[in-house]
Amino acid sequence: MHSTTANISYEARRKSIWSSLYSFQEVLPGLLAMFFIAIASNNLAGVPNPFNLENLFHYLDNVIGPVNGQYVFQIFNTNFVWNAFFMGLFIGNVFGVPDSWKRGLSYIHKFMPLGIVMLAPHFIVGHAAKAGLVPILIVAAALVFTASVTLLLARFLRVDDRHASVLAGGLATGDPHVCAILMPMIKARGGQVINAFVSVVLFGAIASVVLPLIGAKVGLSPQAFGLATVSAVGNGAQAFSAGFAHSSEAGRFSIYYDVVRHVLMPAGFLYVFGVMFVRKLMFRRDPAVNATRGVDSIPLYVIVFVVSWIVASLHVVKEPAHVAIFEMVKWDFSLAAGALGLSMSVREIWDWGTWRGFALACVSGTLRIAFVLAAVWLCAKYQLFNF
Amino acid sequence: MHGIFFYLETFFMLFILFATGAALYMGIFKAHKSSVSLGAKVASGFLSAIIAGATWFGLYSWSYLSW
Repeated sequence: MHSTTANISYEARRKSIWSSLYSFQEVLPGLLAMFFIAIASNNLAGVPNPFNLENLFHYLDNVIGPVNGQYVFQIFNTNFVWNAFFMGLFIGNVFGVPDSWKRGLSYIHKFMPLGIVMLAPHFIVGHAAKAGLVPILIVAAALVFTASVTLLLARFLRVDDRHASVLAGGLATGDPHVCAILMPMIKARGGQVINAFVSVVLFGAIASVVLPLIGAKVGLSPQAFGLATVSAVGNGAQAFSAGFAHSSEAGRFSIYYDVVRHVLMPAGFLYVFGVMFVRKLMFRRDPAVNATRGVDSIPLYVIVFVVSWIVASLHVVKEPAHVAIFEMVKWDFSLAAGALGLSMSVREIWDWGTWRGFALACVSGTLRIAFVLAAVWLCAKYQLFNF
Repeated sequence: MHGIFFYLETFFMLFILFATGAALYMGIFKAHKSSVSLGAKVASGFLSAIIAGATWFGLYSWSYLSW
């Protein structure tokens, strides 16, 4: 009865397709909260605010000094997503979130897909060509291997499939951003995304210390080791730290080969999404299948992203436009991450298994290191490329 | 400064000014509530605009004039 009344009143006040949206006054407080968290977290285009978290971390990086030539906060992967997220999480958990903010914060569901689409010009596949075919194949194989192994092992460790999916994406592509990118595709919970992010970053930090020790035993050349760090550690500064811990030359090759991992990143999260989407279609009635549940067809923004990725790879988007679009991505993800942090309790991060996500990252990450070292060693032994 | 941001900057500055003013008006002075008198609303509006203007004048001039 109540819903009928509500429907009639909605029909009565409905004037256009926009009538279903919240009014500007309803969403304004939440949007303003996201806006101020974003500009207090990052250096964003058009805002001359120097008093933000990004600059504080940069200052502290210079006070602490570099480790293996890399800044410490970079090794722990602070960036425009996580700065805003941590600030939102702090404010939400310490001061609470007023009800008046909640409608505006729901715009995260619009900002996330929009940010993903705008990321497309960031991945020009042709930039990997300088590395040669064999390094590209090694990085691609490591990506598919890591994602597949993570998704398979998740069943034995009884990790929720949504949690395992975002972890698989983050680990396979070597970029914790992907945990957030996969969030709307997989329909993962915020706590699962942050748990996966922390697991990927912590394991990456351990791997960046362990890999140089193993690399010295295996006897790889600096060039081969540089390639191995990109695939086996990933996460940008973590891979470079591992490379420079081996030798200066290996560190330079880490930077040289990192572009291969970077431009193949979309293939990683599209692979994880594709696998979990097909699995959901095959086992639709299985209550244990949660990943991509609620996603009835391939979302439009994913199709737009793929088309944009192809178009961008054909060099249709010129470099200044790419830089400008990436500034908008920073804005978009800063707003979305601020909202995510505000709408999450700290407890929720650990609700999905404090240790299970990290254990899964450690096991599949270790298998990835073994796979990459074996692949690089074999290629060097049979001189498949000039290592 | 790249491409389109050069042209959008003026509009963005106005947006930041209004956003900050709105946040102060609603968040600090709570003047958007129907129980607040018209005089208090007008006074809060002026005060919000002045504080927002002073803050961003300082930040923009710090950034672009390098004082």
